[in-house]
Amino acid sequence: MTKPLPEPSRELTCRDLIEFLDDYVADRQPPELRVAFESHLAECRHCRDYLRTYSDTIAVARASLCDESRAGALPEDLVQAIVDSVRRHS
Amino acid sequence: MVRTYGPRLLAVARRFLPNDADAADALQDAFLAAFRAIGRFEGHAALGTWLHRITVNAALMRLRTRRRRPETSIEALLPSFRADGHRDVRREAWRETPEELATRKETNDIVRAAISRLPEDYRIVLLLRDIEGLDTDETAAVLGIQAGAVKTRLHRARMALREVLETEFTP
Ligand SMILES: [Zn+2]
Repeated sequence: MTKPLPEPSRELTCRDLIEFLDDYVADRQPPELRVAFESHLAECRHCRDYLRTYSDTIAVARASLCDESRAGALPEDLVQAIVDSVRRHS
Repeated sequence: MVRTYGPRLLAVARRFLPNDADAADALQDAFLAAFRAIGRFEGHAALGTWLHRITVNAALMRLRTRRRRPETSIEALLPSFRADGHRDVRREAWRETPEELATRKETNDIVRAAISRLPEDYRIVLLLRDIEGLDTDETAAVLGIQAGAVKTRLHRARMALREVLETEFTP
């Protein structure tokens, strides 16, 4: 990574928090940085809202795009085209 | 095999290629590639997982041959900050949980439309990582880019998608 990690000693800004939110969500941070994130989150409602909606974004994208109920059966002409092309090439 | 796995794999191809004809072509490419390579399928991976990966690759190949449409830069879709490091625009959390949102039919279309607004380099990484379930290294290998670039693009794609969805999901 090219971005330097924020120093755990200095106060985190909302910008720092959002910039490294992916590591926080994936639980991939050094413990002292995680503590700094958690204390910022405890005091900052805006970042709490951001964190929640960031996670919600991932969840809702997954739920909407992996909706298997939309799959249905393959159109018969597509099945035929696939079977024909495999036969032709084997 | 075509009838059993086809519908799910067509759905995979469609996530990458919104045009139905392109998705059908990619599915056909995928089955052809699978039949040619079936001798090398060692059964370590489940057949479904193996076919899934082949279909993702076939869809990416098709995508590369298509001409790119003009797109918005990712920066235009990212959150902006004030000098003190606070966010420029503040909104409340969303009205509904993802579970509640998912039960509404229009959510599906809203999310698909929002994802299609992402620049292609970002959209593809988001699809591979968050939807198709590839890890960072697998995504980097499939796309021929560095793992660091995958990580950055994924985070930006999620942030941009969050901004777009926020305009839909907040009062
Ligand atoms: Zn904050």
